[in-house]
This record gives sequence, structure tokens and C-alpha cells, in this order.
Amino acid sequence: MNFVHKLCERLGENNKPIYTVLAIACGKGTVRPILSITDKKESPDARKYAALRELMTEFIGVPTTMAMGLIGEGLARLITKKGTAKYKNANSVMSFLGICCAAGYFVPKFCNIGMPPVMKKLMPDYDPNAQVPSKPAQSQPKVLNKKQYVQIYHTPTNSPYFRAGMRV
Amino acid sequence: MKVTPAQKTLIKVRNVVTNPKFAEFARNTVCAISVETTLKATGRPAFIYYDKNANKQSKKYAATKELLYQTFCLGLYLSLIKTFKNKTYNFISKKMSAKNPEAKRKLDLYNNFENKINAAKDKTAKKKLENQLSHLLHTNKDYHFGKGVKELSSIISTVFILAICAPISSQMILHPVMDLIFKNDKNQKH
Repeated sequence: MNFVHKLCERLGENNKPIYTVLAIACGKGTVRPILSITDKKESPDARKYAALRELMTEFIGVPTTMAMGLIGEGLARLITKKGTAKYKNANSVMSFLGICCAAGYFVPKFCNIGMPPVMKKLMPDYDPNAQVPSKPAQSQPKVLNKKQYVQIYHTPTNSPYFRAGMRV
Repeated sequence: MKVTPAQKTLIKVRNVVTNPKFAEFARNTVCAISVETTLKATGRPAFIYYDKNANKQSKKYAATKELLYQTFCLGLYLSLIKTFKNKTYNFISKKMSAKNPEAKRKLDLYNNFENKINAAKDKTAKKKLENQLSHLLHTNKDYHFGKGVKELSSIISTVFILAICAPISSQMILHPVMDLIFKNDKNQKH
């Protein structure tokens, strides 16, 4: 019996949502930072910051989700006796509820608490809240009439460039 | 023996937690991931919006982006999962059956029962058969393999859609949408 066969038997016996959630988190943790760092529309610092932030989110998300799932499974032991059919049901349900708590509350909460100091350490010079300075409006070139044109490009008679052929 | 109100509540909680239907829902990859993504779509933007460290404009931008991203993920997931899951299941079961005759027998056993459920004429007969399959999954080990292949194909499809397809397609769709929403405040988005 190969590994895939064993895995299928195990999943058929008891499939826990935690497996999928962790697999998604690991996948996102690699794909999203790569996409952020290769996004050419943003500045290099902003790209680096976004990629690090996404990586950190998954770094916080994976252990939190895992811990909440395990806590849920632990609580199932308090509710029912181990080895019974009811225990199996309680185990799956509590693990699922733990993951829901992690997704809806604990992961974003921990990200809000833990992310700013870590990001400050990783990128001390970058301020994500800083406003991008707006570009000064480019002045339209004025259309000059003949008199003004002559005034600007007229070389004074006392100038060393007078009749020197230089119109600088 | 007198039952206190606290004990009554505990019994109610135990009944809910040990409910076989709820357990089946929790074990179903598609249902569990749909609920999780919905919670992410509400929880994450809310926490970003009430973050005291960021300025108002960047909070608004990040919360909107996260809400749109998670909603997009959910929509994409629900629309694609059935097709992807079936294709992956067919592929895996073909590969397994070709290599191992025992695996083929187990897969046929599970598939025949599923076909029987799908061919049921009325709702009561369908429910009866579903309960029978649920009971068999607990008692007969031969049914584990078929169910396991189905769940494995769900997991593979889910990871492919949410971890690879969603980020790539969201970058193509979400950027223009965000630019449209925050057209006037684009210079303040960081």
C-alpha cells in the first residue's frame, strides 16, 4: 500500500478541515508574497513591505489555526468519552469550531497586535502610513506672441554673445 | 435527580456538538472552507478597520481590499469547486484503479452507492440511503477508501483554487476595481 492509498484511507475514516486550512495557508504563504514582489506597478519598498506582510500573516495564521484546532479537539475530550462514535463527531465539530474562531477572530487579532512591531524591525525605514507626495502640476508651456519671443531671445548689445551666433 | 440550569445548557451543547449531521458538515471540505472564507471576509476587514495604528485612509483602503479579495475568493471557489473536484476525482480514481485491483473494487463499491443515492426517486428514499452510507462509513472499512479519494480530490482542488488561482486572478481583477473605487484618493493609499 503506497502513501497516497494510506492517505486516502485515513481521510475516508476521519477528514479534519484543519488539513485543508493548513494546506491553503501554506500555499497562500508562498504564492501571494511572490505575486506581491513581482508586481511592477508598486515601488520596490512597497512591494517588499506587502510581500513581507503577506508572509507574516501566514506565519501567524498557520500556528494559530493549528493551535485552535487542537484546543477544540482537546475540549471534545471533556464533553464526551474517548473511543465512542459521539467522541468522533465531537472531535470533528470542535476542531471545525476552533478553526472558525481562528479565522474570524484570533488570526486577525494576532496580526493586528504582532505585525506592526515585527514589520518595524524588518523594515525600519519604511512607513506604510506615509502619504505619497503628490507630483507638482506640470506647467503648460505658454504660447508666446512674436513680441514676447523677441524679448526673450533678444541678445543685448553689451552682451559678449551679441552677434556671436549663439542663442542660448 | 434534579438537573440544574447549567447542566441543562451543557447537555444542549453536547447534543449539538455530537450531532452526526453537524459532524458530517464539519468533515466536508467544501462546506468547512466556505464557512471559513466567509468568516475571513468579515473578520479581517473589521479588524483592519478598527486598527488604531494605521491612518484612516489606509485602513479604509486595506479593509476594502481585504473584503473584496475574500468575497472574490469565495465566489471563485463556489463556482469552480464542483468542476475541479470531479475532474480531480476521475483522474485519481483512474490512476489508482489501473495500478491496484483492490483499490478499484473499493472505489466501485463507493461509487455504486453514490450512484444509488443520486438515482433515488424521492427525498425520503434519498435520506434513508444517505444515512445508510453514513453508517457504513463508520462500520465498514471498505468504504473509507472511496470517501478518502473524494476528500483528497476536494482538498487538492481547494488548494489549487484558493492558493493559486485566486491570488493570480485577483491581481488582474482587483487592482482595476480598487483603482476605480479609490480614484480620487490614489495618492493616499499607502
